Amino acid sequence: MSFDLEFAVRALFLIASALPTTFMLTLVSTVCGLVIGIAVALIRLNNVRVLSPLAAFYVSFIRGTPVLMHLFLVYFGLPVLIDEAGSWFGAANLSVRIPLVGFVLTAFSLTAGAYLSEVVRSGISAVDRGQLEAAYAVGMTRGQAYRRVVLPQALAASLPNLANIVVGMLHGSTLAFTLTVVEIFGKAQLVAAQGWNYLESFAAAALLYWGLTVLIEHLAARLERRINRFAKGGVA
Amino acid sequence: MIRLSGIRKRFGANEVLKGIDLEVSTGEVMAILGPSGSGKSTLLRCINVLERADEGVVQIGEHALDLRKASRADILAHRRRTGMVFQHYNLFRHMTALQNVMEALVTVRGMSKSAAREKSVRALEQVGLGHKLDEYPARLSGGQQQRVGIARAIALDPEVLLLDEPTSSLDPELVSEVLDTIRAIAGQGITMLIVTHELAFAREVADRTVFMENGVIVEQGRSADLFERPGSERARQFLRHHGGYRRLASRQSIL
Repeated sequence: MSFDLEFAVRALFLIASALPTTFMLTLVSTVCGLVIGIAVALIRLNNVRVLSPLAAFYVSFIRGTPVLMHLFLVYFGLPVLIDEAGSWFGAANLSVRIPLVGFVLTAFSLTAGAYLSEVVRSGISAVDRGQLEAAYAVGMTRGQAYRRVVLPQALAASLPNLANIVVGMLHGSTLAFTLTVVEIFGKAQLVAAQGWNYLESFAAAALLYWGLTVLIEHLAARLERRINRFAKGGVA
Repeated sequence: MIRLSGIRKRFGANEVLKGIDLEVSTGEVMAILGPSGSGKSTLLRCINVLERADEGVVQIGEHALDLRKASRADILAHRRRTGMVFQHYNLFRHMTALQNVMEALVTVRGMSKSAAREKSVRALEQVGLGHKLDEYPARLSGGQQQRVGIARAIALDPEVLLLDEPTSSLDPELVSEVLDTIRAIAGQGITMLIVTHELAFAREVADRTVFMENGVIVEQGRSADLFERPGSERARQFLRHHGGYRRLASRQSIL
């Protein structure tokens, strides 16, 4: 058995057609995860009654279980919840209308949310308390103070960790194929299966993942340099 | 006009403010002196409710705020009548000098960007930083940062300006530029409460001076009187210890 370079190149282009799906899975779950993560971080930092222990449970559970498990729990659990709720309003079997990718995005967003909440939390803690006081002193509400002053600095401080999570979500998106959503990894399997060229196909897919990862790291580094214009020697 | 009545604050078992009454009339500059731990900074922070006092009333103009009962909305409205200058400047680090001053004018006051910009440029020119509009705080000296802090506070036209040890974290050679700025602003008739260790400056600029210790006002009076004829033994000791007399003697050469 030898390495068929010609096939590998062909595979690369075939597999590249799944780039948008991988890209979308990573982007949507990271953005949704960031929204969840900020909310959870604020709830925990401000010790909001009732919600705070729930948020702590969510983070502990998600971080304590494999991503593949989230995918399956959502895939089998969400329909039960939705159909139960739907039957109250007289709508039966609503869940069959959810596309598979909907389950994947829900699961991945929940995964990203838990990890990102810890990133955001440490970012907020890194912002000097004087920043919040200055925001209050000029008359901002708590919401304005966080939106305009604390969170931008917190996100800047957590940029390296944020980039790590994005890379993690990119690599984790391979699991989507277990629910038959065809992203890069899934496409590689399909391409390989046609002629049993598994090594070539997966090598091509690996190259794509590597390229995407380098791209993300490059973007993060550029952003970091821009931020360093104002944050000489750290944000806090 | 600002009037404080019966301000009390404790941190755990430690009563930091033991019922402070104080009145500053419009356009008056008042200096607050005292050894560290006397509660003077806490008092200032209670005025704009960065610290929530346990008891007491703060009245600014017509508006009285009962600190025990005040709702979040009350506190917000009250704070918007005050401005504050911090010991460590606390400039928004992710914004340029100009953005620092503009920020509240836009988000809090709802001014248009262009009007806010115009007003902010004027405020920064007033503190002598018209040429540093687009610099981030990290690229400014301590003295320049503090002047941006002053511009940020006065751009909001506060009824009362609170200055919390504005020169205490500055290198000695940068102190005078900040004091000059404060002196110029005091000359414009803005009501000011200033916690400071710069005795010569307090005596020169403040109309009246308060001496605090252990959470109470030990003595207050016209600055000239308090510095020249302190009525209490404690104030006398404090002034002597902090070189008040010596500095006063060479005041002319300093200022």
